Formats: sequence, C-alpha cells, structure tokens
Amino acid sequence: MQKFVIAILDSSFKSSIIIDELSVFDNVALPLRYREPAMLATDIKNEVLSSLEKVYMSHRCDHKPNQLSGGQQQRIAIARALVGNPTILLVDEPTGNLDSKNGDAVMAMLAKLNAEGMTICMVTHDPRYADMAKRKLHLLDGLIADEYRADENGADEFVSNEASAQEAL
Amino acid sequence: MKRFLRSLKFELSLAKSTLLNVPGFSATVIATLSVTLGALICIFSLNHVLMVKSLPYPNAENLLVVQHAYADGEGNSFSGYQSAPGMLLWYKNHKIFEKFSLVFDNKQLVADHPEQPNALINFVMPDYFSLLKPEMHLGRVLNATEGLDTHKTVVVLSYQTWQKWFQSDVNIIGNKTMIGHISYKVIGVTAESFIAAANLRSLKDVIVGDSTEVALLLLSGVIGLLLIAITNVTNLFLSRAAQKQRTMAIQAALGAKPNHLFIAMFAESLILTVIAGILGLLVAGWGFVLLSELAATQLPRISELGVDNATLLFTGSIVILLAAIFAKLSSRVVKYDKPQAQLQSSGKGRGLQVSKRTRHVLIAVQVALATLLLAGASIVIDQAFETVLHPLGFNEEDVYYLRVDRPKGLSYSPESLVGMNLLTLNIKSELEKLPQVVNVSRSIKPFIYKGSNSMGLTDRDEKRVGSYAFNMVDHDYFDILELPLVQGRTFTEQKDPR
Repeated sequence: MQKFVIAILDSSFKSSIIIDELSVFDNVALPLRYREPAMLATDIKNEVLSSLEKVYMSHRCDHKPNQLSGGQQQRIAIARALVGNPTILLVDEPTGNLDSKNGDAVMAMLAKLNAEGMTICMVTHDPRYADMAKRKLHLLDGLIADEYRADENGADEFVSNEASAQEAL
Repeated sequence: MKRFLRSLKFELSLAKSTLLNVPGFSATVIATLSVTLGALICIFSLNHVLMVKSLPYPNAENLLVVQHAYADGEGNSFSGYQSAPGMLLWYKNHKIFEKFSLVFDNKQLVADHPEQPNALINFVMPDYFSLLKPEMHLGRVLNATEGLDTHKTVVVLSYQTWQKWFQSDVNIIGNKTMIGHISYKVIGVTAESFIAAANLRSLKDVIVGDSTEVALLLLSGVIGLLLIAITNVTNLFLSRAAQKQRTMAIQAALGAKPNHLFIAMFAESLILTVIAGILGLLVAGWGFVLLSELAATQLPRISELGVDNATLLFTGSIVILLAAIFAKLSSRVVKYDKPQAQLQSSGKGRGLQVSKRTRHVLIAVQVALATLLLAGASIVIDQAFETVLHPLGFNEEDVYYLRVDRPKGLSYSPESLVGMNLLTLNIKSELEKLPQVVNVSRSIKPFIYKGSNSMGLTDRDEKRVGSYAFNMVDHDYFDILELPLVQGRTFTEQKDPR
C-alpha cells in the first residue's frame, strides 16, 4: 500500500504557528524531531536545508522569526510543511495576510512544487490564485456549487454542477 | 535513553535562550529553591554524618568503648565509677580486645602560656593512636616506649590547639610545655582533619548519643520548608506553562507527544534547579560554618560537616526530582483532545487558566504546611522558654565566680589543702575590702556545676540509700545565693582554718 504523507498549511492562524524563540532552522526541523523512529541529526539537517532551499530561505537559517517579514514567515511555514516530503499539501489561504508581491512569490513557489509532482489542495478567496489550479471547486455556504478543470491551454472548462460534483467527490 | 538524552540536549539549548527572556521567573525560582535547598543540604549532611557515616577512624565499626558501671542489684546502675587501679587491672588483663587504650579526659591549665588557657587534655596510651591512626601535621605519635609505667611525659597537640595557643610554631617539636604542674615534651601535631575521640558502648553511640533526635527534628523542619517552597514554585511553573501554552500547542500540532512536551519543560526546570542546587551548596557551606559556630558544643561531629560525595549525590537526586515534578505538573496543561481550540484561543485573552481546584489545593497545602511548621516550632520554642525562664531556685544576679587553681608545683596533700584554704581565705578577705563587693563565699565547685562529684550514702544499718552530688561550701554560701532552708540552720563560721 502506498503511504501518503499529508501536510497542512493553515493560514487562519498564520505566522502564529511559528515559535518565536526558535531559529528558522529549528522551527522547520520541529516536525522531524518528533518522528518515530528518531531521525539522525545529519538527516534532519539535510531535509531542513533542502526544504528551506525550495522556499529560497536557506540563507536565513539562523534568524529568529521576528527578524523576518510576513511573507518570509509564511515561506518558513511552507518550508516546515514541506520538510517531511509530503505527498499531498493542504493549503488554507496561503496568501491571506500578505501583500500582492509576497502573495505572488508564495503562489509561484506552490506552482513550482506542483510542477515537481506534489498534489496541492488550496482554499482561497482570491480568483487570480484560484485560476492557477488545474481543478477548481466553487464552494457556496459549505457546499460545492460547480467544478472546473483547466484544459491544455489553461482555460477553464465547465465539468459539472453541484449535484454531480458532490457525486464525483 | 539515547533518544531521551538527544532531545534533552536540544531542549536544553532552547530552554537556555527562552529562560533569558523571562528573567523575573528564573530569578524567583532560583532564589526560592537555592535558599531552601541550602538549608536542606546542610541538615541532610548533619543527619548523614550523625546516622550513616562511619567515624573518621580506620575500622570505625570495630571500635568499642568499655565503661565501668556499678549495679546495686536492685535494677539500678550507676556509671562513671572507674577507679585508676580498676582500669589498670582491665588494661593488664584484657583478653577480648586486639588493642586497648585507657582514656581520661580532663581540663588542665597550660601553665607556661601567658594566657594560661584551660585546655582539654586526653591522657592516653600508645594504642590510642594505633587504633585511631591520625594523620600527622608535624612529628609523630606516642610509640611503644612511651607506654604505661615508662614515666615519659610527652604530648601530641591537636592542630587546632597548636594553631590557637602555640602560634602555629613549626619548630615546636622537642619543645617543652607545662600542662598542669608537669612539663611535657611536644612530639607531634595531628593533621587538621583529625578529630580526637575525647569521650570514647559502640564508639559511635557514645559520640552521637541522642543528638540524632535533634538532627531528625531539624530535618523534618527543612523538609516542611522545602514542601512549602515546592508549592510556591509549582504555582510559578503553572503560570509559566500558561505563558508557554501556545508554543506547546504548536509542538503538539506538529506531532510532539506528551513525553516530548515533558522533556521540553523538564529542560527548563532542570536548568533552574541545577543552578539553584549549585547555589544551594554555597548556602549549605555557610550553613556548615553557622552550625559549627552555634551548635559545636550541642551537636557532635559538626567539624566533619562538608560537601562530600554523599551530599553531592543527594543534591543531584533532589535537583533532578524537583525538575521532574515541575515539568510533569506544567506539561499536563496541554489538552491533546482539543489542540486546535488551544492554538486558536491563544493570544486572545482566553489562554490557559490554571483551574480553580488546582489553585485551591496549592493554597490549602501551603497553609497546612505552614501551620504544621508553626505548631512544631511553637512547641520547641515553648520548651526552650520553659527551660530559660524556669526559676533556678537561687539568686544568681550580681553573683560572680572566681576560680583559684592550686599554685604551680604544689601537689595534692593534706598540707596543700591547708595552704589552699589559707590562700582562699586571704583572697576572700581582700575581696571583702572592695567597696563594690557585698559578700564573698568559698566553695570547692562553682554554683552550677555539670558533672558528678557524688558520694554514696548509707543508712544506720549500712544499707545503701543512693548517691548524692555534693559540694563543699562555707557559711556565706546560703546567704549569697539566698537558698531557702526548709528546716534547721546553715553553717557557722569556722575560726581555725586547720
């Protein structure tokens, strides 16, 4: 049976999920330290550095979170979500409290990860970022209203209405 | 274990920086615990020395004290009746013991010292030293040629006596000193660490006696104090846990198990308790000095108090135990069943509140412990007051005691007694001439005298009725002390001193 590792990036409490007393490196390494069986220190280091590399933050290893901007803190949170090499990444409003420049940077990073093979499931209110998805589900009052898939050219193609979308899920 | 140590190492480095961010909390915990631990370590050391540690002599458990006791056949026994011939008879005829030394301790004047100090002298035999094997600072101990009947007058000084009365003179070996009326040749000075067995049942029982009760009483007192300190510090740690709740909730959300959070809190509390333990050892060091200043005459073996392996082991264990208690109590605040709620509530003023019940229990424990300690202390103080304020039964106000020793060279004889009688009479009449002196009385012993100078009394049929302490006094004695007589009269003045 294939093992899926799911990481959740929930921006509803955003940067608050970073521990202020820990350096960037230790914040990202935190999930690995609680792994069973225990990981070797060198493995942890390699994983953390490669994860920080993906979000372009490896030069900030020794910084404390309060020395970073909001966008950088969000990237650290993403790096921590990536550090366990998850198969699926669940992302809730990753750009919610970022300006457009930082938001674009985060989205570019997610797009790159997706291109590398990671499945990303993102919740967003921003139609610009929603358009980057290959499959879109519109939600209304907690229910799926309709579904779109991107064609080869990137244009949306209507797939189904509410009832059939519910069935599809 | 290896995993535990590795995560502890990581958490310690983290805790170090987080504790620096909360200096008030750290300082309060360290101050509270270091003073309490200092007192605890000090009293632990006292109990350890008195009850567990063997005496500082080789084969200490095989050393025995033999004392003569007189039994009257009716179930009464009286000790302290050794006679010199009786003791010599033991010495010459004993077959049970491998080595045997007679010991007689007495206070005598160091007559050729300008201050004529009254020093504690042990009259011993060469085997005393082969039993106790003291290390020597200078010279040597008595050898076989200085034993019984050799009439060699040699003395070994204790390091403390040598320092105090002989100016730490390194050339003292071979010099003579006058103790009482006899000139002794100094042959050695014991090392500073050697403790003379002045009052040699087992030797340990004789030396320690019933002072273990005092030591245990002190121990229960400091344990009560420690428990109060623990409840106080627990309260601080619960506040700290409230402060750390967000961090711990994030850790829990990222996969930290309860044991991870325990290690994280343990690292913090361990840093604080270890610092408190080290400071506590310093406080205990002062405690040892204080104890030896205040209680050296009441408690035996005080000079052996110090930071030894047992004390360090005890301190280490208590430090780890305390750290574990605080960590356990404060890591319990993370609710694993509601991690999300805990994370989202943080920073919105709905953070962790220590439950009312916990607070009530803490307060109740503190009040109960404090009451218990106060009650215990009041009993002890009450007894002390009773002893101090109990009327002595005689007038002691403005009464002074002057001791007159037999002059140098005057040995004990009927003639010397007459001489002393005349001398003290003269002193008395000279003193009476002074305007500030109202009355003078002469007696063989001071008014309050600890020790026994007792004689047996028999009735008309020569049947023993007991033994009574006695003193020889003159006719003014009862007037000065205002001792009431139940019947009869006091002495009249004896005109002829002979």
